[in-house]
Amino acid sequence: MLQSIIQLLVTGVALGFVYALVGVEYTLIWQSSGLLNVAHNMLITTAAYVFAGTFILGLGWPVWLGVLATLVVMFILGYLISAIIFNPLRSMPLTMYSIVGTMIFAKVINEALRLIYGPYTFTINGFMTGVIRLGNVVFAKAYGVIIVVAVVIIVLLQSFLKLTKPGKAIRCVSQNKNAASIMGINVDVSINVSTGLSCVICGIIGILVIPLYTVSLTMSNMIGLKGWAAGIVGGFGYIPGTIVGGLLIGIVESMSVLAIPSTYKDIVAFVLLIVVLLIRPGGIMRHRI
Amino acid sequence: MNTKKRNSTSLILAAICLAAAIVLPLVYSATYFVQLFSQTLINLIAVLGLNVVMGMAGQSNLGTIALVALGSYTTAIIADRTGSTTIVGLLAALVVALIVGLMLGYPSLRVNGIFLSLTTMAFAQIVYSLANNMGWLTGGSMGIKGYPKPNLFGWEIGSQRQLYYLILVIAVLLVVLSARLAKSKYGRAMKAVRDNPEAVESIGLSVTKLKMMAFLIATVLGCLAGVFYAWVMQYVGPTTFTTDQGTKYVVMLMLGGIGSTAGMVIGAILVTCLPEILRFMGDYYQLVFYSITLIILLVYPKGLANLFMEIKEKFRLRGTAGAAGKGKED
Repeated sequence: MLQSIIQLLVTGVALGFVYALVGVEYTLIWQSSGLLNVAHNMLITTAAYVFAGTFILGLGWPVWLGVLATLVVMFILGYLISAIIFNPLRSMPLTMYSIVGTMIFAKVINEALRLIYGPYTFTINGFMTGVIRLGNVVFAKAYGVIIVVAVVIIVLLQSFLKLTKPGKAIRCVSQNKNAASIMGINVDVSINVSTGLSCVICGIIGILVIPLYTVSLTMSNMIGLKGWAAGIVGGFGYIPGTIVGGLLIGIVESMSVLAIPSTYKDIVAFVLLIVVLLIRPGGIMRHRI
Repeated sequence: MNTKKRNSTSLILAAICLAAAIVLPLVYSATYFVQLFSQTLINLIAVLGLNVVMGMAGQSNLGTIALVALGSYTTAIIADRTGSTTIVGLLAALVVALIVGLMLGYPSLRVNGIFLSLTTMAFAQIVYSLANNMGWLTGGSMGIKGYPKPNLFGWEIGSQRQLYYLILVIAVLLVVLSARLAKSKYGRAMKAVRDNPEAVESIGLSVTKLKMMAFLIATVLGCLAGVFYAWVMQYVGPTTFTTDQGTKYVVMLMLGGIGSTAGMVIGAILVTCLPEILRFMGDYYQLVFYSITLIILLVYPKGLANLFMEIKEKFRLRGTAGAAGKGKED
């Protein structure tokens, strides 16, 4: 009994970190430009396709090179998307328009991926497969890798934002655009860089979840939606809050199979979202936007 | 004189649309096409509801697909389990619509903007997950099929064409009602809620009542569309009601012209029928369609109907200025 609880806990923490990373990547865009990027799940899928389809299976590159190349591609893609598409969307009169704009953009990416890579699902053999044994507990190696990589990324990101100059510039822009531009920060470039960073994190998420959900067009729909729940539950627009929210949702969702039939596991995150939004809109960390 | 001409242009266009709607299923009489036209009307009904809550009252509602799903499933489940007359299913769907309307309206009183969008998105996802998983009620991923055809007071609606004309009558009625609502005091009050809620409160109108009214209209129309969908398709399954499919309602709203009833007609026709017309593009038509929609949204987010109205205004003003100069009557 204890063994299965620990296994559920590990799965929950791993998935929780995935949701947390999703929360972090859209929070970056939300903080710097006020835009809700509903297309983030398609960006995660794009990264998975680029990594698996082009670099690993297409060109046959080794994993580390594929990862590096994918992240570079995602950064450039993010920068361009921010400059060309998100820029006009940011200045729309109603937030509704920008949300719908990103929804349509997601469809465009969906179709583009379908045309380039075909509608078939595929996976990479031997990528992050295998199990890890700690005493009596057995869990998939993929979960272990996810937890380790997620923690590293979060630490790196927070250090970048707090200690380096470009990071501080991004934080300045998210606090007050006018003041930031008075201080000599190029607001547009900073926002583009934030979006590029967000896409890099999308890239990491995309690569990490390939062993969990095979590479397909709908692979990231669920984690994209649960990422919203992570933000709302933990404190929307606040990176530490989003991480806490993601972990909470991951763990609760995973443990819920002990109480309710496992077919309803997916609903847990969304019920949490609605409940928290109605009772405590600031989220767990009570962060006012 | 100018006002009369403007109104008559709209009336002429509406008459042409109506004539086309009556004649088309006679020209393209294959079941596939008639079902396509019915589907257009069904989408139109759903999106008229969306227009009231999102276009007029300004409340985000990204859960229209869930409303259609609820209407469809209610009808199908009742028809399948009890084999009763269609009226019972319709009434049950309306009851569901009213309950859901109150459920969705309540968050809109507490949160707004993106949070309301996320709430309605979560709601749509919950409905889809329940539909997909509650096999004992909804047939799970297989759905429900083979339930009795709609049967109104003894008149069994056998053919798709009869069903189409029935839905057409209701759709035309709803279009007229929607246009009247926009000009009525409730419509103007809702638009005031969209633009300046504090001002609405300050003149003594209840923002709560208006928001609830808007949501109730949206849910009733959405569920009604779902009921017709179940009647037309004779099959309801979860794959039709994914949140991905729900994007098309918002596209209809934005592309057609947010806030405008004529825009809803344009939007519903474009999004439902254009893929058929564009079939010659083969695999590329969806990419082309969504790319063009995105470009239109970036350039003119208010949508095509409002764009046409603005162009008409510009020509009218130009004509007046010219007439003043040349002494001609416009």
